[in-house]
Amino acid sequence: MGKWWWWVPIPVLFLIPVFTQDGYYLGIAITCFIYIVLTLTFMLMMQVGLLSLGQCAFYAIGAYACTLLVMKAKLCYWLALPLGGSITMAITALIFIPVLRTRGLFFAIMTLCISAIVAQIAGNWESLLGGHSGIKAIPKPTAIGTIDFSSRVHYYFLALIIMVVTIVVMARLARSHFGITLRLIRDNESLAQHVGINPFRYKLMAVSIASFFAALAGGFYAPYAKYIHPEVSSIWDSLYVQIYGIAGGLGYPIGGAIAGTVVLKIIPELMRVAQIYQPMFFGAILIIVVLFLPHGLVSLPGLIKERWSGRSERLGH
Amino acid sequence: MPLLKVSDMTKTFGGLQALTNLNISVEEGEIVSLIGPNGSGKTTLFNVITGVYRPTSGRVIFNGDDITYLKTYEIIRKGISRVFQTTSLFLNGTVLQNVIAGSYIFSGIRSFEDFLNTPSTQHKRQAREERALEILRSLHMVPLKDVAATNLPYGSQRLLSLAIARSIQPKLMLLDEPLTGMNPSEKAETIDLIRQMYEKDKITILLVEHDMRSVMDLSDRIVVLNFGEKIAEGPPEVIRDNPKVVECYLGGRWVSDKGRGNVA
Repeated sequence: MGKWWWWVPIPVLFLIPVFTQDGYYLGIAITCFIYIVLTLTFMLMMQVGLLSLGQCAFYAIGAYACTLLVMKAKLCYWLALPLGGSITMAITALIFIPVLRTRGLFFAIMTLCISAIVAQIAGNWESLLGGHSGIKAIPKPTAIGTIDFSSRVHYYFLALIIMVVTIVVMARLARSHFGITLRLIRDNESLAQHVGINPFRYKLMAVSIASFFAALAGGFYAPYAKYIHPEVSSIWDSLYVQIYGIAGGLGYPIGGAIAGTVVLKIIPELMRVAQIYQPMFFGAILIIVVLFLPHGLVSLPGLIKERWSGRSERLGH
Repeated sequence: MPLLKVSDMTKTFGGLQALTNLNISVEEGEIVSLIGPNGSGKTTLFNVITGVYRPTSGRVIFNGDDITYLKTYEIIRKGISRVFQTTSLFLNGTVLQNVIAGSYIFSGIRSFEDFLNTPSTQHKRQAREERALEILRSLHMVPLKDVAATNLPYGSQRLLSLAIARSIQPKLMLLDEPLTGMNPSEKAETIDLIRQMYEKDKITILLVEHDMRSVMDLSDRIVVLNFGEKIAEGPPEVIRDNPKVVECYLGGRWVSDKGRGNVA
């Protein structure tokens, strides 16, 4: 993961608008970037053994927080984006102090509930959050020089930057003391306590950091779609995020998130001509991955390499 | 002042009285053994000391601090480490990673500093790894350092769990049946390690063990529990001849050539 060529695709992505400015392709890319961010935050929580089915709750809180800061508090978008993330982080921390007392599937169900509750609150709080009709006519991000967000290319770059920042932070977190400690807790929580680790603190930190980055993605989505509504906190999208992560490979918190999202997001997109069959292809890919690649899509190159080079060695035995 | 003082400890599980008004104290620099039939409350006592269970009543004083109601990780940070009866390891990690995990507190590595990868944190990481290797060297486990803990044979897993407990650098170590399931050479190695920790690292040891020969050999003092109550306490020679102890635990034949206690 620390090899330099892992970073090669990033400058390539920055150059894509030079070749195509087609709104359709850029749109797919932007959706991919947003979902990669969400899957990365899912993977961060997964490293400490927290199965989250409510990533879109953070995403929605972030989208609403950022929008309100821009529209009601008249803040500059570039200030509202990180501030919205921080507010989401604070709200999440408060919610999860009690929720973290649950474990395993109970925790997963709690996150699913939070996702539904966020949608309910957004749908019923008309004065502030616009109720079921949502918030419309969200202004564009504040222009920086000639970048005035009149074209999709500008959004493309913003989404790309948010994704790259998230990847860099998550990669560093996963490799550093923090990520190592998270995985110790997942591996054996009782022993982790007996070497002096406070599991609760690490879990809360993991959830808070995850919510911050998911909220950044939400804060991007609001002006990009120009319209947010309670369904942004969608249970289905949260489930998709989880599936992207699992298909990509839970053992690879960065590569797995990227591979899983890109493959499962783009292949159904290519099937657009036959839209009703899309979920079928999605399901087929998932079943194939679970059956034949239990360690996820990322393990595929390694398996192929093993087949190629391992054959002669195995014969030698 | 004793290093560890458990006073008037009572722990009930529903109607079951697991510990009854237990008083035990351990002086610094002692090896104290805790013996008694299965179900006599030895492991429960360990669980109460390390904060896994809350006592029904009673106190635990360690090094002058009341640790009765502290969380497990806080108690460990005060300087107590524990080896579990059933082997507990970070099975997904390598041998080296397991020992490194044990130095979580002492390495002084901070998450944020390590995230930024500053020179000071790099230095600390290096020091931590060297220390872990040193511990592995004393166990002759350096060649195994990159083996996944889950692939180790049982005896080595037990030794590794001792190595983790040692790398915490505790003042007091609670050992819960460290010799179970070991072959004679592994037993000898483990006893050697316990001695080493006691003599070199100056770790006080509270030991639960059924292997009577080793218990008599190692301990300065023995405490005998039965049904959650202390029925005898004293140096090995005295305990060996105590009729109550012989009746409830040792049985008549305990000094047979096998040297094993008659465990019901």
